[in-house]
Amino acid sequence: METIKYTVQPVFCSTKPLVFDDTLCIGCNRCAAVCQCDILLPAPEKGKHPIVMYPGECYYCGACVMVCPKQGAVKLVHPLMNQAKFVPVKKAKKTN
Amino acid sequence: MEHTYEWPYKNEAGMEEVISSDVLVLGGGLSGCFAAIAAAQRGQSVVLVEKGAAEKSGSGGTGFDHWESACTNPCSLVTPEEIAYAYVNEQDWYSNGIAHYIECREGYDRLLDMERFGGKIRDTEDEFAGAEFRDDETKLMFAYDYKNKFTLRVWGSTFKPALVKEMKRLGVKIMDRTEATALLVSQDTEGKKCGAGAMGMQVHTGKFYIFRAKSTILCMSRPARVWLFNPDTVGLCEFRPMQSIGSGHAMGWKAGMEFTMMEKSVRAEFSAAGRSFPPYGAGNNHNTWYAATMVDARGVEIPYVDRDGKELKTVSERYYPAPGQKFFLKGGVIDNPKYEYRGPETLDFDVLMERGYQLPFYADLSRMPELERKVIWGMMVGEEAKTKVPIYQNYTERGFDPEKHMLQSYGTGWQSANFLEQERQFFGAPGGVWHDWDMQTNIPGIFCAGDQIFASDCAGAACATGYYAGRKAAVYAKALPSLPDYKKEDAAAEKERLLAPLFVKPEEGLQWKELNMAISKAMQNYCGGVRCEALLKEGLDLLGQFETEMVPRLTASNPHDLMRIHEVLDILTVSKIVLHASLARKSSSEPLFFRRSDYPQMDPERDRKHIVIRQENGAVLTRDVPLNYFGNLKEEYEKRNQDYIQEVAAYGDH
Repeated sequence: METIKYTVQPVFCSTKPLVFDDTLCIGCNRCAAVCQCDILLPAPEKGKHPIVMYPGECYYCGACVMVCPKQGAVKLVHPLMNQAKFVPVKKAKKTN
Repeated sequence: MEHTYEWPYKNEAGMEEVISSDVLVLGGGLSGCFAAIAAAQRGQSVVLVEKGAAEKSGSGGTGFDHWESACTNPCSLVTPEEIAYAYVNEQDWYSNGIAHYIECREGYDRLLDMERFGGKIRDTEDEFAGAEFRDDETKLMFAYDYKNKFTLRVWGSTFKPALVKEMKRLGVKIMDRTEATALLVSQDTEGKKCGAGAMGMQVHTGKFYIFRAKSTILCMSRPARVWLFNPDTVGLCEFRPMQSIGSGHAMGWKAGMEFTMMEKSVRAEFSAAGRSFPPYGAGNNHNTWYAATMVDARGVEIPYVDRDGKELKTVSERYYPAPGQKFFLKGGVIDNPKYEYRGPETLDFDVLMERGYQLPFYADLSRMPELERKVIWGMMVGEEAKTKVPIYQNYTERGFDPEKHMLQSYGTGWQSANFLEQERQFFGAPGGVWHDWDMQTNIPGIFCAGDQIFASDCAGAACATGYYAGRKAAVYAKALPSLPDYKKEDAAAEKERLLAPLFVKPEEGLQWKELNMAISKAMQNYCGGVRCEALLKEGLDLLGQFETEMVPRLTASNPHDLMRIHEVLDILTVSKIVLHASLARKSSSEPLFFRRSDYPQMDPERDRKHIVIRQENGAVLTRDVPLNYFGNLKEEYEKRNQDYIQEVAAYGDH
C-alpha cells in the first residue's frame, strides 16, 4: 500500500469554545482523552495545554472541564449568540 | 497561511487486526454499557467499540437528570402495564410496546445496578430532606407526578464513569476511539443470513479492525444532521453528541436490516447552531425545568391549568393529577398529550396573547418554594446532559442567581425555538431498527437497543433495553458452537472504502462539510414538511448523483477527517432510507408528522400499520405489520423472561 503521511491544519471557526489558562494547566491531556467529539489534539510540547484543533465540532458537553484536575485550567463557554439573557426579578413575591 | 501540524498519533493506515469475542457491542453510551455488562455477567467475552471515550460519551455522557417509567420502585403507585400501555396509546400505537414495557418493568432494576456500580440515585446527604418530591424513608426523589412517583430525579453525571468501572471489573474489552463502520454477515447452517460481527477503524491511527463475534448488539443512537447543518458550529447542530450520527442505521440498511417509521420526523426543536438555544439553557417550564413559574414581560405570572382548564393556585398543584385522573404523562417524548394523560400545563400561547400577556416570557424560580427552586437550578440543571458546566456553572459565573434573576424564554413561549417546516429532526420517538421480543433484528445474531431502535425513549429506556438485549445476545452466543465465518473479500472491500479519501489530493478534493451541507439542503428541498412522489424521487436521484460523482472526490488528510467523512456517508445512506420510507407510505399521518400532497388523506384505516422496510441487493422491499404486533405485553414478556424474573427475585431487591 502507498505510504500516506497524516497532516492536520486548524479549521477556522467563528467561536472559541475552550480557553486554557497556561498558568494553571499542567498539560496532562485528560481533557483531550475524554472529549467524545475529539476536538483536541495533545500538545506537541510536553507540559503544554492541548490544541483546540476542531473548535466547530465542540458539542459543549463540559466533559473536559469535569475531568480537569486543576480547577480553572480549562474554561468552556457557549458562543455569544447562545448566552441567554437574564434580568432582575420584577416582583419577588413567592407563589405558595 | 495556517500552520500545518504533525499528526500526534501513530500512523497505522493499511494495518489490520482481527479481534474475536462471544458478544460484540457497537456503541458505548448508556445502552451499550448495559448491554456489555449483561453479557459479561453471563460469562461471555465481550468487546465494546466506542467512537469517543466511553467514560463520558453518548447522550448521557456528562449526565441526565430524570429517569422515566421506574414503575417498580417501592414508592410507585402505578404498574408497568399501566404506563407502558399509556405510552402506546399516547403515540397512537406507532409505538414500541416491547421497549416501553422493558423500561417500565426492568428500569428500576437498572437504577439499583447503577447504585451498586457507584452511581448516585438517592439524596443520601439529605440535601432535600422534607421536600414534597422526596420520600424520606428511601431518600428517592421524584419528578412530574408527585402522587404516583414513577419518574425519579437522579444524579446522572455519576453514571458513565461508574458503568465504565464496572465494565472493566467484568473484563469487557473497551475499544475507545474506534468507529464501527459496517456489519459482517454470514450464512448459518441452513444458508440463512446471520450476523458475524463488524468492521471498523481506529480514528486516531487509521488502523482497520475486523471484529468477529457470535452475536452483535447495535447501540449506536439515532441519525442526525439529515436536515440541519451548520458548517461553522457543527457540534451544535443537533441535540445529541456530534458523533451520534446514525452509523448504526446506515450499516444496518446495507446489511439488509429492517426499519420502521423512518418516514417520521418533526419540525426541529433543538439546534443551538440555529434557531434555538442550548437545551435547558433558556427559560422554560418543560422537562428538566418542570414546573417552573413563568412570568411575562410585566412580571405577571402565567397561570398553570389542569387538563380541564381549571387554574391552579399553588406550585404544589402542578405536580398532581387532575380530579378523577389516575396519573399524567410528562417527559422526553411527551409533547402535547391526549386528555387522558394530560398533566398540568401553562395556558396555551394563543390564549395568553388574547389575554394581553406580553413577550418576552421568563422563568422566575424566585417565586417558587426554596426546595423546588433548588431542585431545578442546582440539581436538575446541573445533572442533565451538558448542563453542569456550560449552563449551571457558566450562568452562575455570569452572575445569575435564581433568587434574584429570571431567565428569558425565546420564540413563541417556552420552547425557545422558531424553526421552519422543512427544518426537520428525528425527535419525539422517531423511526429506527425493527426488532422482536428478544430485541433481535431480522438478521439472527444481531440485536439492538437504546436510541437505535424505533420509537425509543430516554435514558431509562436506553439502560433497560441495553441490558435486556445484552442478556438475549448472551443466550444466542452461548448456543453457537463456533464463530460464524465471514468473507475475506468483504473485509478487504470495506478497508479500501474506508481509506480511499486519504488518496484523493486535497486541492482536487471535496471536504466532508460541503457534502453534508448539500445533503441537508437536498433533504429540506425534497423531503421537508410536504412530500410527494415526484419530489421524493428527485431527491433520490440527486443523492444518487452525489454517490456516483461526489463521494469518490472526498478527501481526508488524517483519520479524524476520515471519521467525519464516513459519518457524512452514513447521513447519505440514512437520507435514502427516509426517502424510501416516505415513498412507501401512500397517505398522510398525524402521529407520524407525515404529509403527502399526493395522498392527503390523514390516517386511513388501511394504512394504520407499520410499513417495515429493508433493502436487498439494491431493491427496496416492504412488508406490513399490524400496530399491535407485540401482543399482550405482560404475558409475552413473562413467557420469555422467567430466568430474569427468578434472578431478580433471588436478589431480593424488590
